[in-house]
Amino acid sequence: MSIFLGRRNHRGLTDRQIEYCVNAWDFLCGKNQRPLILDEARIDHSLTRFLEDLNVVYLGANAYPGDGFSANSRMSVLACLAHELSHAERFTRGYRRPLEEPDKLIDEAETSLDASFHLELGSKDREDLREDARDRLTDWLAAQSNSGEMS
Amino acid sequence: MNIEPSGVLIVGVCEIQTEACTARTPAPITAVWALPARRQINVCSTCLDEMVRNGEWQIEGARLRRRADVAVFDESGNLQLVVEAKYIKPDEDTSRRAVQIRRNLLAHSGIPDSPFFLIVFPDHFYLWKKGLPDAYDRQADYSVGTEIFFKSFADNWKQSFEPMSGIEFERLVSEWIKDLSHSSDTSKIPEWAQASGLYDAIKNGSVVTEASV
Repeated sequence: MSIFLGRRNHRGLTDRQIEYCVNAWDFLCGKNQRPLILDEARIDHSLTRFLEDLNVVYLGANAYPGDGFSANSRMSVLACLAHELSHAERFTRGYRRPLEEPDKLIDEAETSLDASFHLELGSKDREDLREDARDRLTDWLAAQSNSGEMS
Repeated sequence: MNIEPSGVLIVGVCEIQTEACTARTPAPITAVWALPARRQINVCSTCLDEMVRNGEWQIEGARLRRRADVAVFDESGNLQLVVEAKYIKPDEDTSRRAVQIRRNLLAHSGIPDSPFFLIVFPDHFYLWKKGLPDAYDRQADYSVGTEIFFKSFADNWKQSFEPMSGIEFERLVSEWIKDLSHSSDTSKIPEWAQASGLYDAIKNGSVVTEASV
C-alpha cells in the first residue's frame, strides 16, 4: 500500500461519534435512505466499507480522519461517507468493480471523483476527494510500472 | 443564485421546506452561503437538490443525481424523452424560467443529453429538440400554452387541477405522455408533436416515472 494511504483513525468509535456518522449518512442520503450497519463501529481497526453482496455500507473506525498528511488521512467523515455512498450508487447504476489490487485502485479513484461531485459537500471535501483519487491513480500507475506492464 | 455549501453538518430545521423537505422538525442539515453576500441558509439535502433542480441555485463543481420525473424509452429501449414536471407558477416569464431550469440540469449533469427534453408547468410547456451544436441557454424549440388542456385532462382523470401537489402533477403529466405515445388516432396528435418528430420518437414507447436516467 502507498505511503499516502491508510492513516485514518483506528480507534473504535464512541457513541457520540457514531451518532454524528449516522446523522452525516442520513443527510447525504436525503429522501433515498440506505442502511448503515453499525455492528463493527466500536471495534478498533474496523473498516468503513461498501459490501456488494448485501448492498449495504458498514461503518468502521476509519470513518474518522487520522493524523496522516495525505488527502485520504485528513478526509472528513462527510467526505468518507460520500465516497461509500458513491460506491453504493455506482453499484445501483450497474458498475461491477474489480476486487483485486491493483485494478481495485482505479475503481477507488473513480469513486472518489464521483463522490467529489455530491451537492452537499463543501469545497475542502471536494478537494480532498479529488486528491485522494489522484493518489490512488498514482499508486495504480506505480503498480503497473513495477509489474513491467508499462514502458 | 450561486451557493457555496459549507460542508458543516448540524441538526436543525430546514429554512427552505420544499414539498419533499426532510427537516421540517430538527434533523441533519447543512449551512450554505448565498453568494456574493455570504448570507447563511440552513438547508436539508433534499431541498438543496430541489433548489438546484428548479434552476434557482447553482453550485460550482457539483452534480445532480440523474433522474427524470418522467422518461420515455422507444420500443428498442433507447431513451427518447426526458420530462421535468414543475407545479409552480413562477413570478417571472415562464420561458426564462424554463431555460434556467434546463441550463441548471445540463450544467449539473442532472439529465442525459436525450433527443427531446420537455419542461411542463401548469400553464405552459417547453420542448427542446437536441441540436448540434447545443447551448445551455438556448430557447425552447416549441412553447405551448396548456392550462385549459390540463384542466380538462385532470377532469377526465377525476382529479382536481387546483390545488394539486407536485407529485400529483407529475402523475398527471405522466398520464398525458402515455396518452400521447399510445394514441393510434393520428388525427388527434397535436401539430407540435408531429412537426417536432416527438410523436414518432415515443410512439408505443415505455413511460417511466421517477426514473434514474
